[in-house]
Amino acid sequence: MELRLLNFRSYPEAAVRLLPGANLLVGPNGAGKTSLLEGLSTLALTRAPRGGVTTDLVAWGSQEMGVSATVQAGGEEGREMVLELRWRFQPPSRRWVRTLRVDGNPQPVARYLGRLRVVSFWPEDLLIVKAGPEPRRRMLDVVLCQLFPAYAISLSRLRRALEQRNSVLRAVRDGAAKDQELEPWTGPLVEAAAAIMEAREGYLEEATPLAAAAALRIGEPTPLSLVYKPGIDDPEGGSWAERMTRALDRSRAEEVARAQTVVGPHRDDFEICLGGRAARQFASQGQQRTAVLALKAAEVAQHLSHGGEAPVLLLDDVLSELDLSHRAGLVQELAGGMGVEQSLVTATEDHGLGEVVRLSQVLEVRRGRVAPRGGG
Amino acid sequence: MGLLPAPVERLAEEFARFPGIGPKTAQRLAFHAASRVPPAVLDGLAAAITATAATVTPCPVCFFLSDEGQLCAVCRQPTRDRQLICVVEEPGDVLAIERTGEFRGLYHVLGAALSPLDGVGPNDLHCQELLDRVAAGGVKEVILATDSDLEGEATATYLLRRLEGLDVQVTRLAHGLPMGGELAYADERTVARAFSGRRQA
Ligand SMILES: Nc1ncnc2c1ncn2[C@@H]1O[C@H](COP(=O)(O)OP(=O)(O)OP(=O)(O)O)[C@@H](O)[C@H]1O
Ligand SMILES: [Mg+2]
Ligand SMILES: [Zn+2]
Repeated sequence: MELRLLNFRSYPEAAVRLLPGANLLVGPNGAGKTSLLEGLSTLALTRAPRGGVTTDLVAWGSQEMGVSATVQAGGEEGREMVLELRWRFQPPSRRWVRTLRVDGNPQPVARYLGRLRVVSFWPEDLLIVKAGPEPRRRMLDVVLCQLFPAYAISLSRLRRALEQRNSVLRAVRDGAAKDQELEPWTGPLVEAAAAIMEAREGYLEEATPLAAAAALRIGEPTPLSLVYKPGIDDPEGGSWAERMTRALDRSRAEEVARAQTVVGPHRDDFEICLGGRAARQFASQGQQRTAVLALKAAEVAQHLSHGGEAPVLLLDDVLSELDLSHRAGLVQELAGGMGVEQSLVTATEDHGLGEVVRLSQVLEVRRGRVAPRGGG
Repeated sequence: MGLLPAPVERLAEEFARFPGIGPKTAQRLAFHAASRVPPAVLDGLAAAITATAATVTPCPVCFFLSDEGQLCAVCRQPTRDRQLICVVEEPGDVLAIERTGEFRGLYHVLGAALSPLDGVGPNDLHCQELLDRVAAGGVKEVILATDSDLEGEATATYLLRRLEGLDVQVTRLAHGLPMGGELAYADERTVARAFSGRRQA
């Protein structure tokens, strides 16, 4: 695979050849290692991979950012395709406009997602067990958008419907709009919410045995499970659309008072449990780390079982954060347990990684320059 | 900077207000006008702009573009089927539908789609005027041909609710416009198919 960056973070321009197998990126702090991983995952997800505003990734002062890669196309062996993501600032509207291309042809996001898949492991993911719900929701969204492009459409419709609906709620609260002006936004909100909640519930159900098996391999005998906690307060059951509709009806007074839609997938969460107990409350440091590794292994397994492209595994700085036994567990997964065919690993030093995993290459990163070690 | 004659600066500023024209393009257009275009042609342009400002008004019935408070060219045509009203967001949508030749009724141009986020509520569109037209009688079918993005769908839902009490059939264009698609930019065959496949809303 060749990855190309244009005005992305600290890279004015860069082209990096990535080999199949494990690619280790080493270099001092601030050299641009993480930025390369962010570039590849932005290309896969079409947006900032770690939350925040995508245009923060644009090199300071630039009006245009691009990431592209030549990757293996699905289906025939040896066929390649070029994926390209571009963000451009449009002065008249003062807006950033995104374009996606496959082999030079513009594509809507639903026809683009899933062609390049990544499973990434950022340093902050180690805190995911104890963090607030936002990074856990993002973790679900990242994998589901790549598995099911229709999910990405539902997600953007949900965001838009919430924004519009909350504007009406504000106007209703201030006496500037009538209740009946809410309805046009409630229908699409319910539709998008139901699709998202169904997908999230299904994913967590399927991921539980996969994550439990991985945890066992890493050395955690207590059974791990993932429990969906939908952001609607409705004990009556039925379809997600029915539950969402009832929850909205019930919360009307509160949503008007707060000028915010207070129920829905934007309030979703899931609980990571060990032996049926919330890991957030009871798990040890080491057990929490095992749980995170297991969640990542489950993500990889889901990509493979849904018949897609094998994901590229991105490990940012996590080796230094792990103790020896977890590092060994991760390395084992890397070396084959997960079924990953290509990985990018960043580190400030190589941590003896080359002794346990066969490295395809070591890339040295220095102030925006990337070159293979020992090579020309 | 003050290097340019004031009218050229002014002209560039005015061009930059148009959609799709940034400051650089605006400046290029202004330079072009000032240095390459014969004065007679510039006069013609100025006259066209002045006439547009002075005489073009929305049609008092359907809000399509028209001349000086008169009925628009569509409303004036005697062969139109006055029992059909096709509701669209923008004047450009009328042209897109006319190009297909599929529709022989009248139009109603709302002016935009609902978007509370941008401060556009029902009172900012020509919704009430549509209800009045239907309530006045003689209309059999209202075709909701707003765009198929979230805002267009919501606008159609809103109008459907408001039209429910009235004695009129309400239909919605068939899907088939690209998701989030704007009518004005769809090709003729797609628009024609969306029209012939319209169904009860
Ligand atoms: N939008 C941007 N435009 C220009 N430079 C940026 C932008 N965002 C971040 N940077 C800079 O890019 C540099 C490289 O950051 P990066 O996170 O890739 O380094 P790293 O090699 O991963 O370092 P570490 O080992 O400390 O994690 C940082 O010094 C940062 O200040
Ligand atoms: Mg880093
Ligand atoms: Zn008219």
